[in-house]
Amino acid sequence: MTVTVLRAIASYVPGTAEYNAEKAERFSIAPGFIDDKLGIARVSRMAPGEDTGDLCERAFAALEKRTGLDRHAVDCIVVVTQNPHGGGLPHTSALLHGRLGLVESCASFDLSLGCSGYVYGLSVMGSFMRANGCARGLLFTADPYSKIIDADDRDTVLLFGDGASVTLLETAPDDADGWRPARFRFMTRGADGDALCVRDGRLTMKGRQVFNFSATAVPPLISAMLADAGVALEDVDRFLFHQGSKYIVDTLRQRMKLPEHKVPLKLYDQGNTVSSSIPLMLQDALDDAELWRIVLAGFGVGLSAASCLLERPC
Amino acid sequence: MSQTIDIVRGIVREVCPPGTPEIDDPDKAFADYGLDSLDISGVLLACEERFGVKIADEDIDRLTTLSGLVAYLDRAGKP
Repeated sequence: MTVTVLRAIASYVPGTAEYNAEKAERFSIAPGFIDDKLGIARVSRMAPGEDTGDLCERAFAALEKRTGLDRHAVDCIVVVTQNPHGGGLPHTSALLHGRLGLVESCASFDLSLGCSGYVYGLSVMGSFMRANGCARGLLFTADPYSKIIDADDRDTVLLFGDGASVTLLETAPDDADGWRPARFRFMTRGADGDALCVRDGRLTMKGRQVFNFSATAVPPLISAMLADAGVALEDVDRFLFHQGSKYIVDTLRQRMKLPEHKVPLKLYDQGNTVSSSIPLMLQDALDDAELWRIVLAGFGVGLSAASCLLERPC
Repeated sequence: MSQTIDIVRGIVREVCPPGTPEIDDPDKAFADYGLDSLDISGVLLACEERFGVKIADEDIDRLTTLSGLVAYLDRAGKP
């Protein structure tokens, strides 16, 4: 019996950014709203000339530096994105495959998902790797919304930031050390998909609809997943929610009656980085010796939600 | 009306940040009590769940006061 183990995560957040305080007056926003509700001081932005594949490459460089990964030993790569490099052809994972000089036997494909994409990616890659005898895979996330944001739209321009992550996954015996997905749950409400979509090349969001979906759909999704796994809510050490805004994370925490220390926030310096927001938090949690169970929950575009229980053996 | 107004006041206390003043004047705008758009979204969602009603997006802009919201809820459903 084998499992898929998360060996390491690395990320890249561009150094350039837009500062929300500078936009507050233009959009008639109270300063307290930015800190207390959005929880976002700055939104990261790709440099001119940078694109999705470049962000992935930077994240990979950080992973390679940290782990000494042999890039010739990578059997598959997946890029989660809905804003692919260039015009989208070829797919970003193939572009990346070429740039990184990976072996030709390495499978490469993209996954078109937004804020739930990292959790979906863990499930898809785990299944793909075990089904096809892959020993090692890389799961990238990079969805730079700066490519589609309307600079005059206060509902989105203050929220979304650019970033990328890469997770090194390995197929291992089930008694191996390390974090592994123990259970997943997914849900979709496609009928409300226009709440967060692209029209005429520009991102539009019905904030109330997305908020209502997230606040009402995610808690029961997590409860059902934990019931499947036979794990009590109190026995989970961390809940890593997609960082849509501080307000939605606080709302989920209150609705699920979770203590504040179990629900970290990480969006103040970069904003909502879509499918990268969970791995940006998880990269710190993976090395925390005090943690044994972590719940991940991504939600947004689709409308779609996905949850995962991660565990590591005692 | 009186029962609904008490329930909605309770929702505002529960959903809005600590320090939010009690809404003593039902005709005064939520914004004048310091509620922002996200606070109001939270209040409306809690009202939808509590009263079993669906508040349409096109009605939101008119629900700016406690009295307006209570009248809407009384019309749309029963507590």
